[in-house]
Amino acid sequence: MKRGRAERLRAGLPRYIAGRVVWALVAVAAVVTITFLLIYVIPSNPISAVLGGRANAAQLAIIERQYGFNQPVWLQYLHFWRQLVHGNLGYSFASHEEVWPAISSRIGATALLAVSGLFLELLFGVTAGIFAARARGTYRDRITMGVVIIGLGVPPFLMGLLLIYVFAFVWPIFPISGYGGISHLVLPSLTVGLTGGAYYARLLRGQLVEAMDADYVRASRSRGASESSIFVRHTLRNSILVIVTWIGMDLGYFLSGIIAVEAIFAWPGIGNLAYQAISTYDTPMILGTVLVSAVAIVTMNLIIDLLYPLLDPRLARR
Amino acid sequence: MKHKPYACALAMASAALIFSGWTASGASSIPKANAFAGEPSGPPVRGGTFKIATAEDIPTLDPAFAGYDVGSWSMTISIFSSLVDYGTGLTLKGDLAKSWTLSPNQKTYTFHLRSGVEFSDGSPMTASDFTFSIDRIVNPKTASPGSYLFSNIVGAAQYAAGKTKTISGIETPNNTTIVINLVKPQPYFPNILAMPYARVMSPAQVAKWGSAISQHPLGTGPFELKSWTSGGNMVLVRNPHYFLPGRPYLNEVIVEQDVPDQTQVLEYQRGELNAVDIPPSGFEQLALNSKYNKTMNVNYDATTYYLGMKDNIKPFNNLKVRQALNYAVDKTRLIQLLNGRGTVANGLVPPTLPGFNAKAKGYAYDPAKAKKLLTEAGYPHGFSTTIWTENDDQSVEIAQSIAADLAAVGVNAKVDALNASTFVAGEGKQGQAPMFISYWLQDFPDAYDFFSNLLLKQNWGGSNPFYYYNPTIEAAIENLEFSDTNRTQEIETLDTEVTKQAPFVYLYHSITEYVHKSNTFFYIHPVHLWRFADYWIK
Repeated sequence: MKRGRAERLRAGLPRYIAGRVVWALVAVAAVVTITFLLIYVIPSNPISAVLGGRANAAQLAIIERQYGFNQPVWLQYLHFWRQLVHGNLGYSFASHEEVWPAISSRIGATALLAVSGLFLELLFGVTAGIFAARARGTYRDRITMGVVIIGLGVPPFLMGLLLIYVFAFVWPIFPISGYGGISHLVLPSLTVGLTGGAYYARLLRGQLVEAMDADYVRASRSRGASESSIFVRHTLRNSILVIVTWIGMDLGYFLSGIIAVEAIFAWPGIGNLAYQAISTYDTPMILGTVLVSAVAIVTMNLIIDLLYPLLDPRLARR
Repeated sequence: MKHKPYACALAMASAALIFSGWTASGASSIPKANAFAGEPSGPPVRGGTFKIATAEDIPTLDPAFAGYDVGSWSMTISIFSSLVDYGTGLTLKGDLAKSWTLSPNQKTYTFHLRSGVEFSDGSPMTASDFTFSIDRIVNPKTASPGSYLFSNIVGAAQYAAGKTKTISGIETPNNTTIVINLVKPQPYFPNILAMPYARVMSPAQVAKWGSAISQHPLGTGPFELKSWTSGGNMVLVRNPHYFLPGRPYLNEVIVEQDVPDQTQVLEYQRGELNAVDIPPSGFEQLALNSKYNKTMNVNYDATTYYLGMKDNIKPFNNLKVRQALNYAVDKTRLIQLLNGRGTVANGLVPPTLPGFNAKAKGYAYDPAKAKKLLTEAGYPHGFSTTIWTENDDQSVEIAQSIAADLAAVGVNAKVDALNASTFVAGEGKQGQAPMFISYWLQDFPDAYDFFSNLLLKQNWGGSNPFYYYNPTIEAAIENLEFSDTNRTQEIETLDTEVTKQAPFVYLYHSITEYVHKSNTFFYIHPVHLWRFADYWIK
């Protein structure tokens, strides 16, 4: 990953950026195409979704015409892109309303949860990782990593239910579900933070421990630099790139975790919308949410790609 | 009403079991409750906010599409009025109509409307608004799934074909009179008028908002929409222009969307909700807990659950096989698995409907007879098949119990537990789902709804996923559509005849249990389910 970037960067920063953007667009197109085809390949009857499981021949014909189901798949596919270019994601089967306004009205809630969840993930992950690495080999290290292993093993929905049960039911400090002020945000973002943070803790500890034994660290130490300055300047700095890379690689998993958390806490985000769309077989809504998620993941990765030269000056200098 | 978007709290429900230390549902007895247990005493009180939650998104507030899921249905009937509507039971009363008459040939209804009815924005409602609303449902451009319900109105077909500008059979001689002419007498036509589809909309509002009308409903009903956050809360408030003085009782109704069943139970226990359905996972928490079950009520759902099969393929095209399967399944055991929340189905008509035959024998559990019938049918060693079911805990449990019963008579049935969308998509397809567990929930309280949807050939692959066809039964159902004299008796007879033909395996009629706060008057309406206009808080 790192080497690939370095090589591409050698060709010059503008070209690197242009290349990344083109790849991002190709990735989005590919995701949409695959999703579109999957929906038509797997056993399905979108009309039954439109009519709620019942239709006579006359109604079928009307709905088929209205939604274009009577056309061949490739034509429907072209039509989908033609609409997309005009900023139209079609109409939901369930609500009979435009897909895009339904999605856009929910982006804010998901973004809020994602940003606060990611912040807590990093806060917990980095703190625990540093703590365990600096205490490596001691019981503090073992206890910290033991907790982390539990965090890794507990799926978000279970963590969410546990937090609800303890902090919203037994001790009713926070609301059980819903959307509103900061108090509504605490438990959902904690769920994301605790389950996701464990990955970062394990990853960072491993990186730090490795870096602590590196030659350049030992060299610094022999020059008499203080332990804390070595840690911040060398060990941590060299490990942080891995964390940033992981954020990019983890985004897909991160968003799927957000879907589960949104479902548990009745959080009015895109994840919940997708969850409902899948359970009612609302094809246009499924495609819309997939498209928006794909764009989000690809954009975040693009940003991380572009951040790389900043974080690792060696890459930009070549 | 076949398909409602299913709440998929499955995994979460099982997780909830872990920290509450629940055991798997046994045959625990349910506390007996009558239909109105623990209701507050005294006359209804005006005021207050009523809060309830649903596990789904409410898809729409457009009456043209509101007939297929519980949420949309209940909201729409709270915002829009109809010519006639139910009391707390199945009896129809005037709503917008203060009275109505039926002609001696039973083909012409004349409705006399209340005068001075206004939409919730203060604009006047007139008879022609009703015509507009029905035209809109029947118009193919609207593509309403309810359009077929109005095909018996004179001129509906011509209008649908674009030959006329309005349905000629609906006349409005003046602003407060509506005359509806039917092609044939149709005894349950007033029931159709009480469905969401026939609710009166404002033509000006529809013209203003077009396809976004669902977000901007304007009706003459007891409530109006205050706010609707996608995935969040839907808030209804009292319609200041409502035509019934003093009604509705509640100031405000809040419906939380997308709240998983188990979370709803916790919210109820914390006092945040006024009422909650008891999900299978909440049985011990609520139904068996003396703190909550004093205000527990039961509702006999107008449902019939069945084990369907593709009647047009081997071996199910053999009557003896279908009868054998009916004898093979132990229905009493299924009721136990449901914690008693069901009654054995001995016919298609559920206990809530006229024509239900309490004396019907159905198919008593008799594996020996099942084996004998299978042998006579030429399957002495049974056969292999697959049962489709949805993948929630309860459905899978039911399916496994049935599969074990079938195995006992030599029928080797594999259980395929599928997610709701795959199930709904494949259930009615030829070549898929040889057997499947599903149900029918009434659209309107007349047995014709059950017979026609499930058994007529025109509904093959849709509401008749069995591909069942029997010319004698077909004729009897068509006769029932317009029959009035001795209707209840005819329904009973037809039900008996259909049961003999065993188009599917009769399983059970479901029962819903729910609890409500002791200060809240709450019940489940037999047709509309939630009807906020009747609720009040002391």
